[in-house]
Amino acid sequence: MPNLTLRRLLPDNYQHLDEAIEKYSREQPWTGQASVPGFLWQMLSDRVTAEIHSVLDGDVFGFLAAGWCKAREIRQSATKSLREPDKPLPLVLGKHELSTGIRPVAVVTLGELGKTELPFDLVVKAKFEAVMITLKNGQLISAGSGDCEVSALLKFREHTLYDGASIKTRMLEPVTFDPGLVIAVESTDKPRANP
Amino acid sequence: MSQTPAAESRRRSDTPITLTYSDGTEAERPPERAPAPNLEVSVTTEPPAPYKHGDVIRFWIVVGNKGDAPIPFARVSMQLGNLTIVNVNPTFPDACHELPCDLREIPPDANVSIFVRSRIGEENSFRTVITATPRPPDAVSADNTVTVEGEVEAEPPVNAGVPASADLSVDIEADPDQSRRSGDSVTYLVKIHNAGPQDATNIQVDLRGENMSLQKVTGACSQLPCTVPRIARDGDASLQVSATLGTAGFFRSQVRAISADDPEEANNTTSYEGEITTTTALRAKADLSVMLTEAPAESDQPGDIARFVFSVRNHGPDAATDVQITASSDDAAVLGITQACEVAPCTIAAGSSVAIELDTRPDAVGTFSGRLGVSATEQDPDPGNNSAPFAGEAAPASTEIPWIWIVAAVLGLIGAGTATNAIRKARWRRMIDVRSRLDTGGEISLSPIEPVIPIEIHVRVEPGETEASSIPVRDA
Repeated sequence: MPNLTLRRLLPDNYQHLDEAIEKYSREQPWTGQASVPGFLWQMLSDRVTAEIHSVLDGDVFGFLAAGWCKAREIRQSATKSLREPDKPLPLVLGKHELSTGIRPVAVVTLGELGKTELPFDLVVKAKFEAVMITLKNGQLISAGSGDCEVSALLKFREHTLYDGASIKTRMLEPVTFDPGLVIAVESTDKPRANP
Repeated sequence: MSQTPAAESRRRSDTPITLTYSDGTEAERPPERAPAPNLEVSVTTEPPAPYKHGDVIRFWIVVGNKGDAPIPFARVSMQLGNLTIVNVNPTFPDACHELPCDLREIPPDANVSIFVRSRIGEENSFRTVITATPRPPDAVSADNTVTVEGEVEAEPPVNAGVPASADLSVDIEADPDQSRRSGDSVTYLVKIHNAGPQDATNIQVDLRGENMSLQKVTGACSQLPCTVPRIARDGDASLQVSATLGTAGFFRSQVRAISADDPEEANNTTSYEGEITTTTALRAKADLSVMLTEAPAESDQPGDIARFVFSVRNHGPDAATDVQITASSDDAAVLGITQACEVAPCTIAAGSSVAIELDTRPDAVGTFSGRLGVSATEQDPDPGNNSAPFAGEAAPASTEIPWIWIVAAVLGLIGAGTATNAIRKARWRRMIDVRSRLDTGGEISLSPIEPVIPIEIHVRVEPGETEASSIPVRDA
């Protein structure tokens, strides 16, 4: 059974997104002189929602992995893995919390009327009880066997579109990263002698 | 010395468990109990005794789960003796509104409240047995039933034994169509008639209001209770009463007129009563809008059927009921409208859209146009978008095509460059036409241009801020 997708953390639609886009368009006009009829914002809102959902239809643990790559303790282990090239370094991570930010930007072109970018902010928070990850050559190459509580907060500019409650989930199948997510790289700088 | 059990023999979950240690000693452990639900019913009655005939009692029934496993389903029923249910949960739109009532899952330590208002009948006592039956049954059923009993005080006639010299009767007249929303004001006329044979004196008039508050009294009295000094034989006294309705549910205003001259009180009391509806129910709003989504891709000929498709959306907040759709055109016959809701009255839920197909038949060569409109029972906060225009073009029949060839030939003589410019200009004209329609807030309905405004959306994902708490790490 596949793991929970990030899309599943979000509702099907967002109330008032059309109003928020309309407000944004009034503040930063991008449709020229044309007075756009009201229904267009609703249609745009539906289309933008669908497009954003389509790019978020991936494994939630894949998105969260970016948080592990930033953690100091894991960076230290990744540096250690560089000393033994091509040897996998499996790690068990204990109880911890992660928060990964994702910024989907919807680029909207409305015929010849204009073009704009609608910036969204998605924050995925997770509380892990335990999870196993594997590092190799300073990269995160897989994650598996974990339990966590995860929630999502989606905003369009200052408008909070969705602030979901935490749901418990389990990593039902391992997540592999190919190519791996780079955490640490071998330094090529040689020490220089002082002049 | 610490010992670890070498073997554990489990007989049943409700029997003690024997632990056998490695040195052969045995010990008993208390039985392990499987989680189980435990339904419990409690009832609070308001107001407290004494009770009179016609009084309304409110039963606050609490169905709780005192166990440590959820109750999947429970049915609540109420046996009534000398009681009539007035309403159930009048102010909770999502709760059950009649008994028996089926409750869904009740988690451990959770409660479900049901409010039942019932009126006492003519007998001198009342009784109700309230039972909640869980499925599957719980182990302790003694606390699943509560019985409430009460005595009803008999109201002795004030003037019992006094010979009749007057016969008073009370009647109430009210406009049956007046608003009965929560917080609204109602007005009614109380008429007290004396059928004789003598004058009635010292008539005491009082009012018992239930879920309504008295505002103003005019006429024979300026307040209530009051005393009317005299009503002549075959005469009347009238009072006009204004009151404010309370919360959603039952209301009643009971007026009584008694006098020492009238010992027979059977017709001395009457009531004005009814149901108060919630404010929102009567002020439901549904914002409908219409958008043309499809028009004939090519020009039609006179007599052909041109089909237009519209999307009607209800932006809420309430459902649009009894949706009416009308279409008109001066230069094309409207043949029919096919809508998604075939069952009358047509309802469009809040946030939903329905597709409507409109078949027209242009009468003559040239452009034709018209408009499709929608309406519903609910108030529409933005009626400006409740209609949308449609337009098309009927081309000449095939026998007239040679004219086009002639024109094309002439254009060919003028030169390809000129023709290209003409086409380019025509495209600009069309775009300008589209823009001008947008400027006026109208719909886009030029059928030959497809798509009218192409919408392209693509999403790129940028990394956001990422944080991690301290992570305990150990090698696997």
